[in-house]
Amino acid sequence: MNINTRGKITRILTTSLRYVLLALAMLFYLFPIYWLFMTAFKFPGDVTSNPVIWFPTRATVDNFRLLFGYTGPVWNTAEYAGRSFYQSVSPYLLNSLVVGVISSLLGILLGASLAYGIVRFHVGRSRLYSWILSLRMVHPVVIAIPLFLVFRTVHLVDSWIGLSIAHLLVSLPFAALLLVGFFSDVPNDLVDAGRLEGLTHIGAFFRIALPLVAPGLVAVFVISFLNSWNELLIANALTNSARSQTFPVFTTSFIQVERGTAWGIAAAGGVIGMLPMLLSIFYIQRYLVRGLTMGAVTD
Amino acid sequence: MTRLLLFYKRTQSAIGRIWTYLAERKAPWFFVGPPILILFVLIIYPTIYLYRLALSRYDMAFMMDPEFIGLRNFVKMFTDASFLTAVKNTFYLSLGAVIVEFMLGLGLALLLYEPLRGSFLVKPIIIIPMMIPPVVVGLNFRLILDAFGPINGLLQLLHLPVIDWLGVPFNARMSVIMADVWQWSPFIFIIVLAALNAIPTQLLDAARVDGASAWQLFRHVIWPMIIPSVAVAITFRFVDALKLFDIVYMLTYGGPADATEVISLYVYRTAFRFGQLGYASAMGVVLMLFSIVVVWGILRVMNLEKRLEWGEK
Repeated sequence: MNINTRGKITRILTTSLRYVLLALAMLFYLFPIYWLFMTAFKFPGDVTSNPVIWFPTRATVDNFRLLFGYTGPVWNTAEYAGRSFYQSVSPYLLNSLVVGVISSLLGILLGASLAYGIVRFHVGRSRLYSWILSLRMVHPVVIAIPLFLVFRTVHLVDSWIGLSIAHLLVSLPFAALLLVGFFSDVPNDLVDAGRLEGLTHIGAFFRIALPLVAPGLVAVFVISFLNSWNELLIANALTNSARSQTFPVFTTSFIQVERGTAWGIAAAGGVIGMLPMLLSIFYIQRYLVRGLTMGAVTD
Repeated sequence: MTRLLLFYKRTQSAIGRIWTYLAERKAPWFFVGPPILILFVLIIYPTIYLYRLALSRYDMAFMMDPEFIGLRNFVKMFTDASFLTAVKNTFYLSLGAVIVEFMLGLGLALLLYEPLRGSFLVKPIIIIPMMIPPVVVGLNFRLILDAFGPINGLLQLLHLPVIDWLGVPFNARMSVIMADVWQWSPFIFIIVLAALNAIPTQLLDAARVDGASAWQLFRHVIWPMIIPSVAVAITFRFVDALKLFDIVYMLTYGGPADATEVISLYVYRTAFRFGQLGYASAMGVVLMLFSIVVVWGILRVMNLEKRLEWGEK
């Protein structure tokens, strides 16, 4: 055996070892998602059966129908007809959608204007920038308490507007920091050219700078929306009825022990909750690292 | 009528002139003013309010106004066993989670550093957990770690004793860490991988030519190059780990007993379940100071500021 073949064997061994390790890692990351999807389509008896059913042979969509407030017979049995133990998820999804859209739009508008001010006019320079970055360190529960009291006096508790404003707490600094990065890439000459053509500063902002960072705006919108969609603590503290409770708040009702956990329906809820992420993941993956570190790390 | 019209025109042009003056000369304030105002209202004012509340007794249950009691809330805190447990748990859970996340993320990034066929598929898959609602992650792990769930099913298949994942204090802590690691180790992985890919290849080639072993290569070439990114990643993770709330809420709700009680959950419950807003605010103040100290400490330990300065020059 000469050195060449030995080197080859070592290389093949290392490569296969790397593949094995990678496969294990992928199994670790994908299995919980697989299991959630499987459970969402399982019959109640198959969810926690012993032995475990790894690859179900029969499927049902009745978990989803129950989740959306269906009260007819389900799971091939008539006994469930007319009695649904579950509130429909629809109003909560609507609340999440509305709050997410309002807070992300407001966040982008205000954040873009703040970012433009920092980049173009050097307001506050790096000091303002790091102050905004430090807002990410602020713990939501710390702000939730005084915010709850303020909102109670101005009657914003349990309303779409109130929760959207509260979610600005995350989306505004987030949008500002991310867009600072995007605006820095806009050549100053372009904006100056617009100014020479007679545009005001505000006109130049809306007509030149903003369109140039459009891809960034979309990414920021999507990620802020997902942040708002995923957020539990503030939403839980500032809402108390189906009028404005968001999807995560609804999800907490699944674990109330008195009811016993209806795993199929809970998993169906989980699948619904993942939909916005699954729909946008391929678009946002390029911006995700930037987004999660608030622009501190660019991929 | 003419005079009225004239007056109207003059005012209009005056307002127009003031507007133009403001929009042109004070343009920065047009852009920065409103957002700063909103942030002020949303963050600065509540923070000041928080400090005031922290010094008072304010129980929602008794419908009374806040009553100034000085530092008594803070004294109470240090004799409150549940709070001290929550602090301890938060510390251990975040430390455990961040260490495992770091090792897993770094290992995986190094695994994929040298080209491997098919590795382009890994990134889109691995970022999925990060954007899943944490409540869903908690729910999902509750399902997976159920007494009759798949993990115990696997143990049974291997003829190992099944484990009560959520009912025993130590196991419950491990479960919380596991869920957090599942969701957030991709974060470290992606940041470290980006840092690895930014290392100039000449550097590695030069070290290889000089006969550096794999470990030496890592220790003396790769590690110094990626440490700023690692520091940033760990700082962000640690800060977020201190905010650990959703996963615990869904997975264990602080239980069994108070084995996984974390600060945010305890403060949340004190404020919004038991209505002791004053006491909860005092804990909030401590939490705030604690996160500042932690961030400062991490930056200090990793010597980040110095390195960043060096990098900028």
